[in-house]
Amino acid sequence: MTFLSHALAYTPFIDSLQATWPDASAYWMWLLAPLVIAISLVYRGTKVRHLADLPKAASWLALQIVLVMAGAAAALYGIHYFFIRAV
Amino acid sequence: MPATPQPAPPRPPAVEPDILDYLSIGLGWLIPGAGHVAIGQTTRGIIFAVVIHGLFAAGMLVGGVRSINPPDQAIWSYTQFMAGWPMIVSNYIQKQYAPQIQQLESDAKPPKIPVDDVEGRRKFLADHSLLAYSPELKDVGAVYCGIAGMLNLLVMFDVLVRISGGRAAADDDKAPAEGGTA
Repeated sequence: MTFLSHALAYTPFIDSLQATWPDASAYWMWLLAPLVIAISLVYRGTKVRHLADLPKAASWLALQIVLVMAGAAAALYGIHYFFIRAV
Repeated sequence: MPATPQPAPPRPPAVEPDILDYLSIGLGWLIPGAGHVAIGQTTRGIIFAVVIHGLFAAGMLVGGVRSINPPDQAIWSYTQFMAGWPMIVSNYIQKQYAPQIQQLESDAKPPKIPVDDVEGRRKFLADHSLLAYSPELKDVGAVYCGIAGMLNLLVMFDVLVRISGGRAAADDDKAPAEGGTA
């Protein structure tokens, strides 16, 4: 019943997703995945000559972005841990 | 006698874009992906259209109208306007809701979202859906729409490079294939 009241109250494109899914903000980091895929598809789409190569090229770029972001996050956490929490 | 290497085929000269080509760039701004369709890169244009429209729509679904023109991060407004018609329509709709949101937020005793009481929070959000607010979701929505605009800017530059012969000159050492005539 609660879900129904939320679904009825929610107006797509007007209300935040939180209106129908109050705990959505806890999963905000998963929302980075579509962003990475879109950036990879468009950027590689302007570069590849043969569109048959696009899925492979875009997948590789998406993986690179995720790995670099994970590395940057680990480095920043390390800096935070050693220079702020440990000191 | 060793075989002499074949000389590379001459590159096509750079073509001076005419007014119709420049119009395709403008069309690409107004309708993401349409610029490529206008210059004959239909499949590529459809891919760009689906991705950019989808990203902008996803941003609006996640963050709602508050994703548009974030008052504390004006730079996103400029990038969002690069997305063309989706932003023009969203901006118009947001203006319709702006007084309502301002009214809700500027009440003498604005309703607060219960933080610790989960059921209370659910009921509150059901009653005040426009006040449903999460900084994370709003920011992600603004970023989705802003990145959609920046990707459209990249796509517009790609149209410019292609109509001026730059992309063809860079790619002419490879055989033509499906998916467009670069």
